[in-house]
Amino acid sequence: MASVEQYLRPEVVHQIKRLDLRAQFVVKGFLQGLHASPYHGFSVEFSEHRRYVPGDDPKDIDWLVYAKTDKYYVKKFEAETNITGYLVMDVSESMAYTYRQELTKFDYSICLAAALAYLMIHQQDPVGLILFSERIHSSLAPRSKRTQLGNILSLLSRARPAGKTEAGRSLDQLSAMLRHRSLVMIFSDLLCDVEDVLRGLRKLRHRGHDLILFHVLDEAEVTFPFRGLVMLEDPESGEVVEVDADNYQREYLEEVARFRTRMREELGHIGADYVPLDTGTRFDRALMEYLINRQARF
Amino acid sequence: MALLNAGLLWGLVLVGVPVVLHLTLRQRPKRLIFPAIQWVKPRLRTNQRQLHWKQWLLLAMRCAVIALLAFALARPAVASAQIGHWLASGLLLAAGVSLLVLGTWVLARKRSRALAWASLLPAVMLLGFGIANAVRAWWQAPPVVLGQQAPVAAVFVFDTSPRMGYLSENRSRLAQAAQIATEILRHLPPESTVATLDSQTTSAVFSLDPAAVAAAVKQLRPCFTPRPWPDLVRDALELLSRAEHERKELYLFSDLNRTAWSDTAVETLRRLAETHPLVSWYLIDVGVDNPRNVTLGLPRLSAERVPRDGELVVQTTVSSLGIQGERIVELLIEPPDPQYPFVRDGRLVRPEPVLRGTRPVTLEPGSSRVLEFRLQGLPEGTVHGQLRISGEDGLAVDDVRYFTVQVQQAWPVLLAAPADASLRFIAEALAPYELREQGHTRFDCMQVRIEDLASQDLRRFAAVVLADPPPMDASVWRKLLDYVTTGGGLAVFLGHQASSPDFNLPETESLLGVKLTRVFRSGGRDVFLAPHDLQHPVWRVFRESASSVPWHAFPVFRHWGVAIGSDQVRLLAYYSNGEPALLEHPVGQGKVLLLTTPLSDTARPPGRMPWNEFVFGEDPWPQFVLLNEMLLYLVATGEARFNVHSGESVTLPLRSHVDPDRFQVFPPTAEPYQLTASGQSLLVRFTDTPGHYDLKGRRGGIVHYGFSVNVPEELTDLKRADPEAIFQKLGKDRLQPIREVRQIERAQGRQRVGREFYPMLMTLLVVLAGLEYAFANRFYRRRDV
Repeated sequence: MASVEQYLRPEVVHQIKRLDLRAQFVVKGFLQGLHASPYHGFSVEFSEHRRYVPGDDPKDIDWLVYAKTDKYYVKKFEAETNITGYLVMDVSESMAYTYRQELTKFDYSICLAAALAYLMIHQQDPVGLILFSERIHSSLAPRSKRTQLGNILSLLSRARPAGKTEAGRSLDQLSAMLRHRSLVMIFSDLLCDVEDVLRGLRKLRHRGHDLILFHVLDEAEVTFPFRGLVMLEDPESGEVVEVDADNYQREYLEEVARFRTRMREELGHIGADYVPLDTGTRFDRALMEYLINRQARF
Repeated sequence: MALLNAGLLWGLVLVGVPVVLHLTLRQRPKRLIFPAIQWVKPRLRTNQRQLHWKQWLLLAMRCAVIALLAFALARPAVASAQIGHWLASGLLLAAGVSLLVLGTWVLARKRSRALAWASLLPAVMLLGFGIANAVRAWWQAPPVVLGQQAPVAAVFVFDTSPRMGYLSENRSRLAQAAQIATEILRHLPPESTVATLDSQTTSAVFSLDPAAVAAAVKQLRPCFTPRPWPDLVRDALELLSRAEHERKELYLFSDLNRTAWSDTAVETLRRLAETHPLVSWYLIDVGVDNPRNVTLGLPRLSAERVPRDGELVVQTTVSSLGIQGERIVELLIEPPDPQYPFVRDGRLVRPEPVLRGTRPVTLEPGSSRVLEFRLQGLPEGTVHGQLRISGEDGLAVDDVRYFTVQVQQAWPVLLAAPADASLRFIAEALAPYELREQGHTRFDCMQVRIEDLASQDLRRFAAVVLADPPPMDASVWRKLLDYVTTGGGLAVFLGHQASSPDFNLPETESLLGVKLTRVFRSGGRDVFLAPHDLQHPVWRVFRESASSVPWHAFPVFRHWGVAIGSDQVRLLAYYSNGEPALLEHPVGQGKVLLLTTPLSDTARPPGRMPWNEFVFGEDPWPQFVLLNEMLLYLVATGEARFNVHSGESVTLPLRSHVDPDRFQVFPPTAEPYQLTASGQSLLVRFTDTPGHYDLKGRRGGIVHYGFSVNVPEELTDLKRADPEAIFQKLGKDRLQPIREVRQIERAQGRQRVGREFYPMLMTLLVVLAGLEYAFANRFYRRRDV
């Protein structure tokens, strides 16, 4: 992860551009596809006038037209949204893990985050970055300038996954940091106390933030490809367990599936998106599928 | 069980190697970084338990492979007779281990717990049974003395029944057996001891000299009184149990005849074999599968005592086994001559037989024909005869049959009765009119009034009958007592004329052995003669049809009660009310038969009711027969039999006033010998040879008796038992079949060397090693991921 360019390789950007085209992000606004925005923005692209009817906001009345026609007309604008996005990245030590893939979970998450940051900045939406492990230890304020992408990628390339995951505590911190309602995109393997995570997510959602949780696991963590007798060590806690892998794959996969199902249900319940991913899936394809799926819902 | 390379059993120590390796050099699994162990931990305990199961199973398999290899290389072998036990144990253990593995696997895989227990419980039971069976076989197993040359203790048991004389390819079965026995003797290891038993011998000893045994075997001849086959085998086994050599062998020489090898006999042999597991059995089958023989059946005579000028009917059955064609059956008679037989120049000289009849018979294989000869004008005395069939066949002993009849004058019998008593039934029963006319009666009856008894010379009569006697003078009773004491026979039929106090004179009581008490009366038909024990000679004829004799059809309305006054009195029959009916009282050399109800009451006797319906009941044949048998017994011939099977004892009743007490017995082939009468009979015990036997004594002149001995038909029955069924029942591992000389060594090798487990164990080893390899591969595959 030496260079910023690694995360924005031409083929990735091209893929994202194509994604833009195909998803009509550029025309309709990325965030329209990304979220159902309740905000009013500052766009000047006029659309049409229509007669005022009781109930319309009086501040939308075009007084110039009233002066000319003596009738109340309100201005209609192209529905455009500007939203502040936060890329919240888990940089605990477990994110540095890969068993046999080219990208670690962290690398995979950076690729996802870079693509999303590119999209947002491309349509001039401010986007910020927050890194956490046991707590939030780095952050980059949201900007919509084109230089912001470089800053984000620069910070990410400097980051080194280390320490334990304390997602609950970090989300609490994040909740306190965010003043305005924002789109919070979390990238984590969630290898921590899931109850704390859910509590933190509920709090964020309660404050009006829109949530997308990218649950990134290594391919080995979702397939358990081991055979025979293995001794597994947790890189964060150093805990070691001895397992006869031959007879354990089925049980392990059941556990993972149960975890994912629970997360999907819990997040669905609070109106947040849960996106389970693994490093064995191409991230651009996974992201595109998610965005298309999300667009279809709005 | 024995081990060829017992030293290699030390290899079992190597079983410890996998254990040590397991404990000390246990291969550590490679450590892998894996952050998501939070999804591994929930079911970790179960997984580790499965892991331990696998490790132990693998360890057990490796130990088993080493143990099996060491055991196989030690070359275990067991006696052939025990191979079944060991194989059964092996199968039980294999099934038990399989179920154990299955149950363990089910437990390890957390499948159905019920299935796991359903596997483990039977597994434990099977293992238990298998081990118990193996231990039992171990304890019972004969020591397998490896190598052919260890000395043996052998007993040769020969079936020498008459059918072993059957000739096939010009050689008798006994000669064939002797030849094979000689071969076996030749192959016995040095210092072996051998004993022989045949159907006649009752004891035997071991001999160290095979040549002497071979000579003795060649001298074996068929015997006509063979002991039952299982008895011979039992004796042989007992003999072997006392033998010093560890290796014990039993050789049975037999033609596998169905009579000797009946189901009962085979079952007995099976039990004997189980109780003597140390003995190796060999069955030398010298039988012929398709015998060819014509059998002459035993003569069936119309009577063994024939009145002078009477007719004798002789029947026989001719049956064929595999022979077709016409044969002639001849009947010959030896005219009685007191001079014969005698011994001249060491040879027995008998009268020249006279041909008295021939019958042609056409035979088909498997068929049988009945032939009949009628003989008249037989000379008075003991007459010997024989039946012969012409032509040759496999077995000669059943081509001649012998018979003997006694031709004599009728016995004089005095019948005495009071005037109003009828002697008609008694006289007609003893000497029927038709036979009287032809002069064929057995008894010559003379009827007198009882009042005239005192004037009669009783010594002229073989027996005296008193029908319904009234009280008589003491002198008459004394006369009768004297008559009986000197050997006379007296029959008394009590009736209404008798009276209790007048009959109870001392002389009467001495004669009858009882006192009269009172008259028993019965209004209905519920009292009748009820013989309970038919062993007495007077019941001889009734024995075979005891249950079908209609005694109840002849009710008794009155009979005398008696008080027995002598311990000599023997009760021969009771009435159905439990009172004595027929009694015997031996007095001196004679005997008295007393029936407590008359045989002289007609249906309507004047002035009274009849005492019974013995005489006028419908078809009173039981009384007819009983009266004849009583008189035959009284004239001392009731039990005489002149035609017996070989081996049966013959008792000839003697008349003390006529017969001598010493006789010379002339057997058919052996030397004559002297025999002294015991009491009033002569007992001839040795009747081993078929043929005519003569007894000659002197008292005044020559007294000549005789009888015939025949071989029982079952001893000449050549039909074979099913050899397969015999081997099946006795166990093919236990009994080594030999039919020819060249099979001997192979059979002995199997029994002496036993059966080795090496091939089986090596096969098992390969299978187990393969399983271990597959299991270990699966267990440790990608261990280094």
